[in-house]
Amino acid sequence: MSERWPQVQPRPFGTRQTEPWQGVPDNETGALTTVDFILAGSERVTVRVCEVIAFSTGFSFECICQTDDRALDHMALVRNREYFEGRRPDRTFRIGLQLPNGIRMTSLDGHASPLPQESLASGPRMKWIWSSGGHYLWWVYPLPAPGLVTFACEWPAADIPFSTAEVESAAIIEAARESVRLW
Amino acid sequence: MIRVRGGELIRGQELAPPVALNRLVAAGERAAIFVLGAHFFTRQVAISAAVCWRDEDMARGSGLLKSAFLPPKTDRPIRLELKLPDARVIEMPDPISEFRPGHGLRVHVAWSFEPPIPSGTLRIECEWRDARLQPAVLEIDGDPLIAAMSVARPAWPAAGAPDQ
Repeated sequence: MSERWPQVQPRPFGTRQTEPWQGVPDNETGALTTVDFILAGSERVTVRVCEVIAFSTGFSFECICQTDDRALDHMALVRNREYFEGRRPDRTFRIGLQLPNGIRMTSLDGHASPLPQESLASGPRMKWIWSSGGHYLWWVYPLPAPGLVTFACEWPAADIPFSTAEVESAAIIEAARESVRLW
Repeated sequence: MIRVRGGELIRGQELAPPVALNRLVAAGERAAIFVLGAHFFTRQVAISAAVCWRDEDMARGSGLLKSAFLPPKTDRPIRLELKLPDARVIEMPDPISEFRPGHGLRVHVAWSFEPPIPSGTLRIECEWRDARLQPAVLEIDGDPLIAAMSVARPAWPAAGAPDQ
């Protein structure tokens, strides 16, 4: 390779997590919960939260924006870039949750003021893992305390007002106990 | 093309809480296969599982998916079969999640079949030679799945909702 390009060493595509906030732990199976609900809906789109999988260090959840509107599908695909680069905040689908201790995390946090290093280590965090079209996978660290976890979303361009749904964290905490530690 | 959590798997018009199964099928020193649960869709039932591995170099890029799922069945290093009580066999599940940083050293897969769910015992048979995972069998009682399927409700209660 020409020296004009960065001389990088190949590495495995998947690399081991070094910190629990970074994502799903490598050494656990996780356990599926029965949490599955429609968070919000309009005549143009339905927002569903499902595939909530609990681990000892946190949980992942999937958010699906189901629509047959191609414009909305595109907005969901480009995610937050519309908001920050296009200066069209109404187009941005945003989702967040509030833990029982009152701490809030949102899909826009990554664009907020840089988090201090100590916050990175201590959490809590809601970290985007991947998305495909209107499907998003999020990692939440750490496990919530007993109480209500409030999910919230808003998407003005899709006629979705600020909408919330509450879930008893017990469903997640109990499932986490079923996650098998492998190695 | 590998579909990532999409296509037919999520296009159902019914909504029912998944049945959490959370059962270990096989675990070795280098890999494990764990059944997560059953999911219900209009024209599909899906049983999902996590395939986990220990070493970073056991899969590169989408290498695990390609090597495990795409070769002819006689050459597959992973065998993941679902056998239904009515003798139907789903030989390989579909990958439904992407293997990428933050998602752990794992992929999620799902066996899909058309309802109804036959009464009786479902069998999941697994083997992963390269990971020294010996043949293993997990049996699942199908009756709780049948009961859960019966409580499915429309995901689009409002008239004029998106038509999938």
